[in-house]
Amino acid sequence: MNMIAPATPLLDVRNLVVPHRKDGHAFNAVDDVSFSLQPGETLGLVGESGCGKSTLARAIMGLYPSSSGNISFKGADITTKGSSLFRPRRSRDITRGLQMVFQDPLLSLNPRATIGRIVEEPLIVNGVRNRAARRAKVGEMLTRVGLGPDVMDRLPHEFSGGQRQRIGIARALSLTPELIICDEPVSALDLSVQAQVLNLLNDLQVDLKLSYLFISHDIAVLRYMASRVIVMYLGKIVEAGPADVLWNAARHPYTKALIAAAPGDPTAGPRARPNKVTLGDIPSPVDRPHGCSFHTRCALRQSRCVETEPALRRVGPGHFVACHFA
Amino acid sequence: MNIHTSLFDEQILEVENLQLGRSGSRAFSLVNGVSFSLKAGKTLALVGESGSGKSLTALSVLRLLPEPSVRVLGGSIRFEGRDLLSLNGPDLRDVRGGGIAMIFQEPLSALNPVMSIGNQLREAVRAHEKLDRKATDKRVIELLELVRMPDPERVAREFPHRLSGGMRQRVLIAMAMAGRPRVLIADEPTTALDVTVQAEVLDTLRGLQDKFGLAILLITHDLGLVADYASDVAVMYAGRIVEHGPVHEVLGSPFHPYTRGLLNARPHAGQIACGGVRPRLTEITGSVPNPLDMPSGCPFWPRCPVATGACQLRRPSLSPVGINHAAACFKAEALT
Amino acid sequence: MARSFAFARRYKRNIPAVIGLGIVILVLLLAVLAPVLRPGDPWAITGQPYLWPGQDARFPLGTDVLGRDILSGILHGASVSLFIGVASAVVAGLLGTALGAISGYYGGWIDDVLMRIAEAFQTVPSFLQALIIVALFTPSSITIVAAISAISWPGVARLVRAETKRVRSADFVSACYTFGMGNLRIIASQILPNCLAPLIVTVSVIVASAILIEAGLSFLGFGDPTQLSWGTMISIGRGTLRSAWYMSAIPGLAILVTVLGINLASEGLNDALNPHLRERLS
Repeated sequence: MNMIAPATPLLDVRNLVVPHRKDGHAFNAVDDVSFSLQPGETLGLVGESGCGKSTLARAIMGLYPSSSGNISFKGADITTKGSSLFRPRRSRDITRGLQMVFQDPLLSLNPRATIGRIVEEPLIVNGVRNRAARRAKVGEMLTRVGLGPDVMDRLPHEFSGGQRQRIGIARALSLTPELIICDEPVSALDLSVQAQVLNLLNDLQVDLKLSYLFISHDIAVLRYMASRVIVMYLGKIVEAGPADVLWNAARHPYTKALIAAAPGDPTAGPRARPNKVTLGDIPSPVDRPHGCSFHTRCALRQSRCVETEPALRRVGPGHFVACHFA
Repeated sequence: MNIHTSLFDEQILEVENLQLGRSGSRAFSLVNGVSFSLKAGKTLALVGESGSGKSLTALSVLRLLPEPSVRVLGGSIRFEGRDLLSLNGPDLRDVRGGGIAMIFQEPLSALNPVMSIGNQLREAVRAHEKLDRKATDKRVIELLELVRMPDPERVAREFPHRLSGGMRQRVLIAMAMAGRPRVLIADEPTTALDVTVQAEVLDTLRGLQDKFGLAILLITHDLGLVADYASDVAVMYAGRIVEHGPVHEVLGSPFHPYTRGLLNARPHAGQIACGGVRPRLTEITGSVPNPLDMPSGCPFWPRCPVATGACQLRRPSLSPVGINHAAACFKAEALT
Repeated sequence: MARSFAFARRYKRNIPAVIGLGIVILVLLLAVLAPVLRPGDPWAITGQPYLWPGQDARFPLGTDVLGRDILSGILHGASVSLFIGVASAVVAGLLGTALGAISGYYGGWIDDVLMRIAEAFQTVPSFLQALIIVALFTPSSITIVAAISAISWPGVARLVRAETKRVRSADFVSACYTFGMGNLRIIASQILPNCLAPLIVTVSVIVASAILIEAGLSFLGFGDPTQLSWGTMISIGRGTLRSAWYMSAIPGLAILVTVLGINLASEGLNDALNPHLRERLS
């Protein structure tokens, strides 16, 4: 891995459009999104429900087809196009390099398969023929995530939420990936367990030189994890930049509102929250407002915002904002 | 609203030594010895993780427990001096919605999908007072305005699925307010909502509290919300209150190692990575105990960083560690 | 092992299910032991005709219009009925599972086409349809099994399709796709095992209904002429229903008890297989 000047980004998404259907209405859940992810970094992706962050993750994983734009991984085009009826399989090289950790650890583990089987499956599918070698690898991965090889014969429902998420991580690790897409990996977990999983993801990143695309709605978790952050709103990127810049000097009114709305730091001492400026509810992604899609909730709105959609423009080193007035 | 002002500083809901669980051959206990009280105009937050018993405690106040699998095994719940556990039939209905109202985590499942918002609110109004049609309609709009619903006339004609999550939750709050309650129990009212909407819903609740002197029991797992909205907090672990006191006391100088653990487990301001190596989060090891297999002694000792032999033998009781501040830990003194 | 143990424990708590299973095992035993208990051809005329049950100790269940032993017919008929039932259920189960899984997994036009075909089969009353199929070809065990499978598979296909759609959207299936598992392997190793409980129950119900349909076909004279099934026996006794009703009643009772046993057993299976898997996936 070239740490000094990475020539090709690990993941590169260009003008991606992912169509989706909701209650019979077709709309673009991800609309003209471009970004790239460098080796070794943790790119945070934040936004509220309906912003398309999970759809984007699944499109990158090839679970949803895109209607235009492309996705490349280590320079190779991996865009899934057309109908999902007969999805072509990705090459083993791509599959091994790009893995995903899901939000709900219970739903992402086959309830009828043993833990050993669940972690072993990626190896079977990817051509590791030697059974003993597979078992050894499974044991190693389970130990790596802090569970140990003796859990292999048990079933998912015998574990707590945090342990199940560790199993999901072990499965993603078994192919020794370079990039892991983490789709809300701790949101379904209890608070006391969240820290365990975040620490584990951290340790793994250091030990295995992993990169993460870390998706979350939780500002505090992202503040901790991400070195660079993308903010999405109704399918589009509204702001992107280095974490310190974004958290301390956000330019887009939506990013500011998100940061302000997040619950306070309970250790910061006594404070009663002042009432917020009313934002109103998120419009449905199905009928996205014209012009700037945030204009229905924006305090800075002018007639221009209703008429023309602001383009994502550079406002500082690595810092991009899509707002007429930011 | 002078009646309410006169009730300020009076405890309108008192829960004492509440025991919930199942008796008989396969007996187990889910909530044990929980006591707290609510004052008019104040918010008490009941904080805990899944399985801590916080939601069951809330449900038991309105006698909504999933009986017979879980029932009240002991203790008392008194509302304005009346014993709720001995109420039946019409008296109980009177308290439900009238004196005490409740809102839930999932607003969509609490609304009838084939009935307009207006009709559902009308039913709620009629359940509590006899008004003619016109006055009922007026009251419905009034309730929607009360929860800061934009365009209440239009919303009244809509059906639940046409509204966003935040609006649905506000409809439920409006419904809860129909009976002019003195106590509102909010069970994870914003867990299913987005952060920007969450703040608005909670601000709405606080507005109602200021206006009517409502006592709020806020069930949550989010200490950030507690810091922002509650005046008092009770931290629950494995069916017991382990720490209890004013919010600034409990969060500012926590005594119980579990409270400390929860506060530290959350990434906070000092830990922003910004590309560098992230400092490790302080984790609470292990997981919440199974109610069928509770550890002896203090329920937290297997996960506790400061546990000693004594903690495995005896269970510490909630004892004062400050003004109105109590913690259930033998080491509470040593930790200061 | 612990899992099958828990399953057995849940099943045992259900008394009607245990009775049902007992009946099924008994019928199976009778079918297997028929050549030992009553050696010889059940079609053979061995005694005086019109013997009522108990009239002659050699023929405990009596004889029919031609003097054939009814007990021998019941014992040998058991294997005919069970064969038709099990074979039809297996064929319908395999066909329905395969088409249902493909339909539910791939969706789109494949789903539309397969489901329209299934509907076409389901619109014609099923017994009539079986009758027509058997009448068009020569009645034999093979055509009867084919006819019963043809009318039974759409039900299985619909069930498997619905279950497949449900399981398919679960994240564990997505996870398998993300690490490169092929579609057929996903269906076989991830989806079908999670549809197994309702599938087993439906297929066992088909066994019972197949036995009934076969009896009906035989009663109308469309049975396999070389096989003495319970339905054939009823039809033989039909002419003398008023004077010697036992000839039809005894095989009728055998059908009733067997079908009841299978239904009770499959109900029990349903209850024992379902409890936790259901709630975990939904």
